[in-house]
Amino acid sequence: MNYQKIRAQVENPLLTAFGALSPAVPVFFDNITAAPANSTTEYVRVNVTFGLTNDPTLTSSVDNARGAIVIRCFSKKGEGPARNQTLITTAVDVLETLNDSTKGTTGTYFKVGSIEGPSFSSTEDAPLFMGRIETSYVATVLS
Amino acid sequence: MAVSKNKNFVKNIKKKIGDEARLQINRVAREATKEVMNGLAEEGPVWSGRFRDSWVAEGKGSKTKGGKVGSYPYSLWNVPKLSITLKELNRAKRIEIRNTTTYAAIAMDKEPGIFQIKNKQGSFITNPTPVKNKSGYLQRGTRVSGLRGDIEGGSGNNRSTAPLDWYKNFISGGKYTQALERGIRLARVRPTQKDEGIIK
Repeated sequence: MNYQKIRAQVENPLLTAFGALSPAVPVFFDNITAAPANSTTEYVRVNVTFGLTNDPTLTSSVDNARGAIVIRCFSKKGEGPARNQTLITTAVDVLETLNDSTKGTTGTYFKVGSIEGPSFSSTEDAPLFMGRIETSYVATVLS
Repeated sequence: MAVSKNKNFVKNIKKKIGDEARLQINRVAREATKEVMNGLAEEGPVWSGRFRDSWVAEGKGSKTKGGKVGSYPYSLWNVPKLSITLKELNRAKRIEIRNTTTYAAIAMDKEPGIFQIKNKQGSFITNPTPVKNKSGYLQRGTRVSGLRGDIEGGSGNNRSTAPLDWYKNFISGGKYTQALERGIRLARVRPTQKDEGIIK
């Protein structure tokens, strides 16, 4: 399977977009240790999950996968939602741009579904204010 | 006289076919609901088993007859019986599946939470063994953001019995659709006689 190619489709543009913010916001993906526990500095957590996939042995050259993308933006607590909303907007813009790509003969064709959220939560125990959006995706690796 | 009999015969046949079709729609809806409930129970976290056993199907509409509250594995007894009137069949939302635990949003990774288990007497259990431990999935490490499944490797004692975002992945990753398809197949091959879910 081409899991890495599929991940790259969503992770690279998100990394670029959050890096371009002022100040730049660190982004953590699956299996990368995020900010230390109880951190009070802002960061973004991106999780790409894989659901059902097909195997290249079933079709000669195409890999299909579908799953979910969940983006959580953590910003300082007690300072209003504006900063968190800026981070959420950045993520939504990236996801919407992904749908602009057209299907070619090589590379990875990636489409996201409708975006759910944002939902915000801030509990007494959690050190940061959290904004969350989620969407589904389908990806086809063409070769 | 003969014409009148024929008219009744045609009317009865039409009604019979109509009722049968509506019954089949209800069978599909109920079997699919049951399969989705079992899918959610299997994918989700299982520590004490309370969250897994708290999925309920709630019938929408005035003439539904509530299914019994049950536990995993769920059966058709846990799915409400549905009306076959045309008005009810046209209802956009007929059944709602939800989890009745107070911490459902935490278990579904939608909100951060506190992770302690109480025994029946109300005191905290210090090192509990999760039910799902036996079936294999158990992440250990440090809980970074306060989210149930956000466990990083390392020296922490936090554990989770289902991966982060298991719920969203169940819905979007294809397993939800598979459960629905399984329900449709079951309704086709297993038309029950005793429990057809009829309310006239």
